Amino acid sequence: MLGLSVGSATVAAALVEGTSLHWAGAATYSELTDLSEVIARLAGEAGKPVKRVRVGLARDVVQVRTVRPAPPLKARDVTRYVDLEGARLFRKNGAPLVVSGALVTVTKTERALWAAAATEPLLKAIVDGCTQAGMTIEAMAPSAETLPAALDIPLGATEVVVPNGSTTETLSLGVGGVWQSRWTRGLRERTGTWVAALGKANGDSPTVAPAYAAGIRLPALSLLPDGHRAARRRLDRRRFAAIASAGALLWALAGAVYLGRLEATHSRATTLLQAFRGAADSALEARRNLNQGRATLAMIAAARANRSRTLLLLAGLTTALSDSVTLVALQVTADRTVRITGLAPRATQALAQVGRVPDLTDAVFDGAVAHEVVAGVGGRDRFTIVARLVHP
Amino acid sequence: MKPRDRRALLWGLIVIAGASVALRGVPAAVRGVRALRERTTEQVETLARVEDVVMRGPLVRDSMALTFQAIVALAPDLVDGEGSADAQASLSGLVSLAANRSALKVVRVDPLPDSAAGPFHRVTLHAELEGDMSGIASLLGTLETHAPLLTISAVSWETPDPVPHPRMSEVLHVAMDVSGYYLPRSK
Repeated sequence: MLGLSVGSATVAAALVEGTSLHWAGAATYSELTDLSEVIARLAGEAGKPVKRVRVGLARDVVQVRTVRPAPPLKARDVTRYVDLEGARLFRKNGAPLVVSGALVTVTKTERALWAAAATEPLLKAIVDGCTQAGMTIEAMAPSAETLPAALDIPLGATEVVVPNGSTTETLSLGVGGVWQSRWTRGLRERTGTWVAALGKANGDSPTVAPAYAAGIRLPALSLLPDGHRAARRRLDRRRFAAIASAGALLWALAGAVYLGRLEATHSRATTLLQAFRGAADSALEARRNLNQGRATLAMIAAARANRSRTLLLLAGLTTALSDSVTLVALQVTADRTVRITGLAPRATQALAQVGRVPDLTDAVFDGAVAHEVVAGVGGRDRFTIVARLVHP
Repeated sequence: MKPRDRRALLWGLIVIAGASVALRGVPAAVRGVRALRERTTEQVETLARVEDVVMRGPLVRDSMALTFQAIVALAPDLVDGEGSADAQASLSGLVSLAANRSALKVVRVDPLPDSAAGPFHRVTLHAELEGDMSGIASLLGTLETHAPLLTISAVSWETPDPVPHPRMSEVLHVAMDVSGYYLPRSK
């Protein structure tokens, strides 16, 4: 990045990277026609090819004005307001002016209108010089706005005094940056010290500082001529369109790749399925047969396990029931319900005995117990017990 | 037509075309892509399953051979007969023979409908018999412990006289459903 400081007769240049100063130079000019050539020459001497440049205008070629408090304006209307009020705010001296303005926060509650103007021929000469040198102008504003960046200023300072030659520039600092510049004759003591990076300037810091400061800090004002601004807007629009088009193209490409991959995967899977069809059908048939065979074996095993359950039940009942109990009927249904009808001296005792049969659960009376007298035996309870046969 | 009118017309057309694309084309494209993605996912999952099935094919065939051997070994457990009538006759004969050996009187034997059970068919009959308790126990033992594989799904018996005369033998009425399996001849 090249920082340029243009005065009425001198031009200073500083090649900066970040906040480091790599090279600095200065030259004089007498006519505006020489200015372009001087700038191109300085850019050529920088030692490195430079593509971008920021220009600071010295106090003798730029007029600055402050309106405090700022009129009630929105930020986007400030430039138009300064354009309209240009004739009242600035001296024209017969040359057309390029003006710019910005709202700067002075305190938390107060803003100031910070405006600047420079003659159009000078600005065009600077633009021509930079264009000839193949550089793109990133910013062009009064050096007053960026100059504090070249100084180590005491914390909380609201005024910065910068002596230069036989004059002194006093800058007022607010929360939002420089909001006023007063240029007076005579020398006053400088506020703070030059930053360490300017130590390489070999004692020529006051000349190099505005160029260095322009190189490391972006200003709020922009004094680029209208034609250059329009060209720059066109360029910005074109660049935006190119980036947007590239973005859209990349999205489209990504979508196409995604779709292509999906389609390829689908196609590959379909092809493989076709290829596997015969083997898969055969394997599936084998698996079906295997499952059927296993089911058959399981069914036979279950049937075998269920065998002899009636014999076991009979044995269990014979063991559990006492001799005084007489079985009248026994029914074992397919759903494993067991119904026992019989005669016993006491039906509840028979129920308890049935409950002790290992394979029977949930034994309950089915209906009421009737007491009757059996010939040759005596009084007996006629009962019906229902129970569930469980698999051992 | 002035250039301004032409420009307005052009912008109108562009807006209409853009709205049409945004409101109809984009949703349709999204639906299409989503459908393709679902189809692809299904195809890939099916392919994975098919590959798994094919890879396990040899193992399945080995297991199938063992299973078929086990099924062939079941031959002694089956009731003779290549059709339903044959099997019913065989089963009826088995029950009658066992009843005779157990000193039971066969009152009636009724066939019940067959049911398929894998490669085998299940043949069932309902038998009613008369005899004493020891005969019933002997019959149950014969049917449920010897080959072929017969199962008694339901059984009931009752005694008309719970306190028989000491000089008369005990008589029980028995009803049972007996099932067996047979291998029908494939047509």
